[in-house]
Amino acid sequence: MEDLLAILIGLLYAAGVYQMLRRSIVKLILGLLFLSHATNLLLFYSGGLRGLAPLVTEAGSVMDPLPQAFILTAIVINFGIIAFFVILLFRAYQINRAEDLDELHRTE
Amino acid sequence: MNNGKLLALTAKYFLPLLLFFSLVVFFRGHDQPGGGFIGGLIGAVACTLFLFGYGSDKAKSLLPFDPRSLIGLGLLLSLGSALWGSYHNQGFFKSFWYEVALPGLEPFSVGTPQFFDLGVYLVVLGSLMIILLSMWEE
Amino acid sequence: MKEGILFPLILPLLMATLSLLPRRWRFDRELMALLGNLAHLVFSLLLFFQIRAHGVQTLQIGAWPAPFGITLVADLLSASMLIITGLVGFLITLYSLGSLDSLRQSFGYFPLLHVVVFGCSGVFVAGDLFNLFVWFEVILIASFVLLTLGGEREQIIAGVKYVTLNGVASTFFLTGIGLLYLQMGTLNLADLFGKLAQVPAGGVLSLTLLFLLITFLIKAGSFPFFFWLPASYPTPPIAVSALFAALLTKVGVYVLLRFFSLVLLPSGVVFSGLLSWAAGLTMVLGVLGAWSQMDIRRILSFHIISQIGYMLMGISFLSPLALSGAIYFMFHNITAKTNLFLLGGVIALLGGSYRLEQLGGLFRSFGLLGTLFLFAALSLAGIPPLAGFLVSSP
Repeated sequence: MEDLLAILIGLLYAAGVYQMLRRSIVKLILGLLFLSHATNLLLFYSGGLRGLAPLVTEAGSVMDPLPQAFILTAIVINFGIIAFFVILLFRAYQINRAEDLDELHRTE
Repeated sequence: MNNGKLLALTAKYFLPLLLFFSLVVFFRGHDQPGGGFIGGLIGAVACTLFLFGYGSDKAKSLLPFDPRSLIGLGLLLSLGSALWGSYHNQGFFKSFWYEVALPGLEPFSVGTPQFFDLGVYLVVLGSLMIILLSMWEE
Repeated sequence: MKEGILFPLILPLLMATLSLLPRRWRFDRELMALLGNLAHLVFSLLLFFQIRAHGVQTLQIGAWPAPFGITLVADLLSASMLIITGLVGFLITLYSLGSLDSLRQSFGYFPLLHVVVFGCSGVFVAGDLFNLFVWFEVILIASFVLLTLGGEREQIIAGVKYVTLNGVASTFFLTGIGLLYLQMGTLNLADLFGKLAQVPAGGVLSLTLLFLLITFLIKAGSFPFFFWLPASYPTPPIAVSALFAALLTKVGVYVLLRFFSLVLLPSGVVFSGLLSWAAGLTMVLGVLGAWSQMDIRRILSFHIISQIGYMLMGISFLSPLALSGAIYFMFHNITAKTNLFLLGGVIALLGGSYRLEQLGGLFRSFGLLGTLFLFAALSLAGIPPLAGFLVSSP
């Protein structure tokens, strides 16, 4: 299970970086989303599998609750950023009428 | 923009249903899955459906305030619930629960985390409506 | 007073909240912004003297015990940063009262300004890494709305670059946090300090710290991650540029200072070589960039990068003298740079342009303004008896 999760995280990171390096505006958002999902899974991994809970001292079947709180916070924050970013890119598209990110550079 | 009768009709009847659902999700928040964020999102979905059906003017009149003010009110509620603990000298963000017994209802408890969550609900609803309205009006 | 540490945090949030309320319920936004930032300054000063008298102040949020809950910590450095944040906030509010068009004001300029100040104050009192991440995001969201407010073409394009790079920085930060928590089981800075001292430096730990280092370098605008800065800072109105120049990169430098003086010293994981190379290249490249520009805002933006390099160099040496030099330089730079940006705004208002070649003869027509600019610039250059000299001399 842990190996599977590790491979999945790696795949998500790779996919995120790959998507961000393509020049399309839409794929930029997809790339950021993949990266953030990979990070959330990594946070999940960091909490669940060590077998110790910080608040409950006896070892047992209790998960560490802190990483889940982290993930929850991270998801909410990411939601806000992505929501704003979508609008921003939409505006950028309206201004430039080009889906290629390289078109943005030409304006400098 | 004309989005057709069907969508408008759907929006009209789904709006109260979705809003009720968002309130249910919000109120069962503290101990079960749910809460302000998810409730706010569902509330925003309801408003979005209405927006698609009837356009931005009617959708704006649906909200009691300007979306920006919703964010302000939400933040104020959250901040107030956090300061409640400071006011009672128990520390910032310390949660308080009060038993409320209303005639005709089973006794239930109301706490500062719920007010915090209500603030989150309003902030989420407000910010989503700002985003959606600004995209709609392009 | 136990909760003195809270005031510099709550005040800006309260101001932001109050200025978002419906019009019939709220006071005058401009007056409130001015008074609120002044109060922020006053409470920061009070906190400073409180710390001087009674030592480091801490506060547990929700009364959770220390390594598990959210801890706010303020020492003298945090309090000094808070003071300077309050000062900058106040001055920029004052400037924007006169300079900002009503369109931007109605779009929520003041609430966003308060939120940026709120986020920066939060960074300066954050006691654990995840809390730090949250404050970074607060600053990020507010600052990129502020950056694109007005929706001009240049601003939108600058915003895309800014958000992309800072979004990647956020994921890096979170990855670093996840890896660190995996190994240490804590994110509390004081707790980390103790635990890292017992752990031998290893591959995964170095990787983790590298993730965090890269995040902070992006935030600080250091080589090789500085290119978002000159692309975005010159585009918004000058009051916003001045706010960003004063606070945003310095937040990155502050965190580097805090975190790496805490982590590098005990664990012996050596990043100081890497950091000093980055610092040196930042210094040189920033100045070269500034050299090739003719627009006042662009020159100043590139020059920020170069000066970030000086601060990073001070941090990378990790000796008490070098660290105090870096801190002093940070304060000096915040004040001088804000000054220059605001004066640049006034110059552009009077001369009608930001381009140097169109601004000739300014000193003859507006002598006082020229002298003010000269003083700030000379201070940055390190001419005695101005403050910059103390930094440049060993």
